[in-house]
Amino acid sequence: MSKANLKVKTTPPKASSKLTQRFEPRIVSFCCHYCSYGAADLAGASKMSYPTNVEIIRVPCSGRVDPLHVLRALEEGADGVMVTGCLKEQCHFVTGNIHAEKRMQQLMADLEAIGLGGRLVFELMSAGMANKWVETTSSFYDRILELGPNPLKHMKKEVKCE
Amino acid sequence: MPTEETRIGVFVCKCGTNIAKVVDVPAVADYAKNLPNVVYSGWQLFTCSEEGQTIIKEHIKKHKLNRVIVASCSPKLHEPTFRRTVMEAGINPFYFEMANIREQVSWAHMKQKDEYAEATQKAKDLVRAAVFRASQLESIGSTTQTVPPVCMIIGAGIAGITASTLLADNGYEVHLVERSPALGGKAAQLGFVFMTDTCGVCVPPKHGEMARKCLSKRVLLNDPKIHVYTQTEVKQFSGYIGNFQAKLQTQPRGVNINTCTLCGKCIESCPVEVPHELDLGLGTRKAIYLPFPQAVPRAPVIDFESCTKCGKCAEVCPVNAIELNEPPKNTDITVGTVIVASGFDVFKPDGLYLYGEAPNVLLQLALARMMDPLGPTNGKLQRVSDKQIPKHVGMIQCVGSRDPNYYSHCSRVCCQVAMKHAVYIKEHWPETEVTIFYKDIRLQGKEYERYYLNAKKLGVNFHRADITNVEETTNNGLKLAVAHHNGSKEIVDVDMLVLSAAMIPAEGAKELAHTLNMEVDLQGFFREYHLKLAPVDTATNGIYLAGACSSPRDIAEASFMAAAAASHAAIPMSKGEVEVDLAKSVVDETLCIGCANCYGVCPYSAIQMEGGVAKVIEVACKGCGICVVECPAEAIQLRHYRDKQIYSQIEGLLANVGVAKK
Repeated sequence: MSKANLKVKTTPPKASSKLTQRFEPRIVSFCCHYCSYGAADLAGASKMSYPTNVEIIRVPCSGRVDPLHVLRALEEGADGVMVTGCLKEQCHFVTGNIHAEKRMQQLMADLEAIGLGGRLVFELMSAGMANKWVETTSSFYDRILELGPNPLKHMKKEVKCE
Repeated sequence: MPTEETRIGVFVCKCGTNIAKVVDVPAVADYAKNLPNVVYSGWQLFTCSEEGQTIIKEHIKKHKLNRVIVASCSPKLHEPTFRRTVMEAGINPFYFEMANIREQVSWAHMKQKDEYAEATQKAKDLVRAAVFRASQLESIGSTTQTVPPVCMIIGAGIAGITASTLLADNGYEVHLVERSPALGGKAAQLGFVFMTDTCGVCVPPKHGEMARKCLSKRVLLNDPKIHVYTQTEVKQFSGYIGNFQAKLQTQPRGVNINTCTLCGKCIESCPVEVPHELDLGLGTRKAIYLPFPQAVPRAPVIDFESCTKCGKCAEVCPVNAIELNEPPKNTDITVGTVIVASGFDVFKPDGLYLYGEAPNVLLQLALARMMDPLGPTNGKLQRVSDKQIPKHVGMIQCVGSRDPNYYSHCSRVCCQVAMKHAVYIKEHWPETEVTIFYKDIRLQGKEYERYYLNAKKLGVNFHRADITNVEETTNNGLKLAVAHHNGSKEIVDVDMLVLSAAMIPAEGAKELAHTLNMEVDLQGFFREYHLKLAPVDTATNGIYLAGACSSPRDIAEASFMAAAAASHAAIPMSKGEVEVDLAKSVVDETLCIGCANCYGVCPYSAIQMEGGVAKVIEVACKGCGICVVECPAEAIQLRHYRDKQIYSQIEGLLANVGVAKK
């Protein structure tokens, strides 16, 4: 598939991937209702393109995202997880994004330690920043392509729905 | 209802061709049929239409559905619509779930034709996630909150005053809070304004009244329902619709407005003279001064920053109205609703076109002050450097607006302002030449074209050009390097240069937004709830917007908007109560260990510790869920976003990932 207009690097997928012939990452993004979900909506409404692989779970606030939610997504086979919230000092819930940042930074260090480093990204954007949504998703997609498939995928026993 | 069988209905929307062009909608609907607990799945052309909603209701009845999923546009748009639909069919609104396959799927992947198959797959993924989540949803009730008929209005410009008078006329109590010492905002400072060429706060008589009157004077003097606070700011703010608590801080005026007779002796006696901020450097004022001649309240004010407290004013005052050592005053008020009308400021283009360096470069606002018969030059057009009538006035449009380096928005009023001033100059000083340098002329509406035609008839020059350089000449004139948009270049000499600078959010608007816990946009304007459909509402229920605080507006638009905001604020106040849903945090007291972590992180003080366990004040809780993550005992959960609900959505989304994937 062509993503030439997205400046996506055309790094060939890792040959070691045993799961599929061509590695197409699955990325889960937690978006806060007021800002980053709005940014993603605006990106769509402005017909801006970003990787189809990014799928959104809406939460009221980035402060609602528990590190356990991120771990669960990785456990279920997501290759990368994004947690996105409002800009600093513009959080609809005042301090939600501050708490989220603290929690996610700690989690990033923990993921690094267990060999899943780089698979979580935390970004802040306002509902008007569709550009940042596109940049963030595109560059994270590139990063996951380079990292290759989530090793936990092998351990997932059953496919619950085809 | 744990014993009840879960029966999910999935309605996939084509949205005309908006979704169907990219996503294979019938395939998505077919796919959903085989998902767990789904008993009905189908597609429609426009699910949000009257017909589409009727079909949903019919299927709810026919298939005994108790969960409904619509896969269509963003929930930010139609979640409220469909919640109402399912409610009308007897289902709890929180049993409704939405999958966003338009903004996040069809529109986002419209440009890549070779991605259409993947877009369909993504739509299936999102529908599956919604189905998994729907099985875990719970029924959520609501409670009511009384709303007292009291409104706080922040900012006493045209918008704030209009909203105040409308609400007061309808019988509501108003607290009108103004930061500056005088009412009327920017408009009151202008000698004449479009479209009527009258004073900025002059209003026509109502039925049964004899004379025209001053809007700000009426507010202060005649209305027992309106409490006016000048020199006052909102220092602290908390609460929710029906119960907003504001702490107001009033700076000392130094003059008792009830006893002052405005004889002016204090102003004469004051030895301190400083530049008048209102006149933008054109005139001076004393440390005790009347902000402008028609200023309301009708009493001078002491500027304590420049006052030396020499006491001369107090000596000459015949009624002992001077109070030099008055402390700031705090007032606590509780109100049901709030209207923000904090207005705008004019962009100060320091460093652009020699503004702030050459004396004869000024802003349109300063020119307007100059043309006010009661202004610093008593209505005379003159150069700042030598007080001579200028022979050639140049005006540059879009200074700071429509400029990616400063503000990207069009400020809407600058073309009208330039036209108004150009016409005024040509009518009163016909020998003076006026040249307007513009990018585009934007005059909409039924009244503004005549300014343009009039300006052309009177011989105003219009040049579509950029000014690439400005140099000051020996006699304080200005040499403009003009690059016409048609490619030609020339040097134009003017002896006065007027800049049409951008309308930007009022100074301190960001801090105010922070205090009120409201959102601002990229330019710093207050963000409306919906640009098109809810332009006076905000994300916070019970707070409304009026005037130029949310976008550049002229006086007429600010008045419309104030009327709209007043009517919106009146809705909950006239009903006397609002319904608040209970999609809020809830504590399982049997699990709570009383660590108070949740209490510590709640930004709304909505959690109290009672008898060793946490308790949520549901009307104050806004449902962010920050507390849930903080709980070490999993005792606190957010209804509608419980852990199990989020987990099942994750599980649903990724249910097709794994070894067996084809």
